[in-house]
Amino acid sequence: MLVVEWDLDNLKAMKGTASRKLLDLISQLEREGLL
Amino acid sequence: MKIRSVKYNNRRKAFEVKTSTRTFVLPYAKADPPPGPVDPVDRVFVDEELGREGFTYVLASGNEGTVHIEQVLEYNQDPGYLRDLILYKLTLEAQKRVAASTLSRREIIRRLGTSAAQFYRLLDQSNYRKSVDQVLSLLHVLDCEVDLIVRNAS
Repeated sequence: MLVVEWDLDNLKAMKGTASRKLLDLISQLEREGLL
Repeated sequence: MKIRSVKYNNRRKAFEVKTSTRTFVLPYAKADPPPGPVDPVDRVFVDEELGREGFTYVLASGNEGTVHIEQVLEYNQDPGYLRDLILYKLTLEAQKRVAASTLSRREIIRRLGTSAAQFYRLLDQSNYRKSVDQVLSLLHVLDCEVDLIVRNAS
């Protein structure tokens, strides 16, 4: 099931909600240039 | 949206995804890793771990890829998907305009003739239960004109 659909341009959840843990993971992936 | 079944079609070089309403096509080129003559699809299945909202395929090399139904809907320009996208973009714009407005939130709510709870639901970009009309009303209160541009597909 969809947990969150993330808008990489505006850094917002398009669908669903991102937990703090998930937000940290997204930030980490962005820093590493993987997103 | 749940996927009922998925097949791969090497002649069309595409996955065929069946939902309760219709069948969508997703070209191999849109999948990552992309299947091809050197590394063709070995098997594909509706992924139960994704709550049947996606499918996973395995290539002859053993490499795997997963595709969510949202990607399929986006590629096929599904009307429901596009409606949500328009709503999302309008909501982001409304958020910016509310933040920049000289009107207080209380005044915006009064002019909209709605409740504070409904106003905050309107500003929630991940809420798709609101209507486009409601967000347009909010933008009108914020003294905005909304225009729609239709372009030829590139």
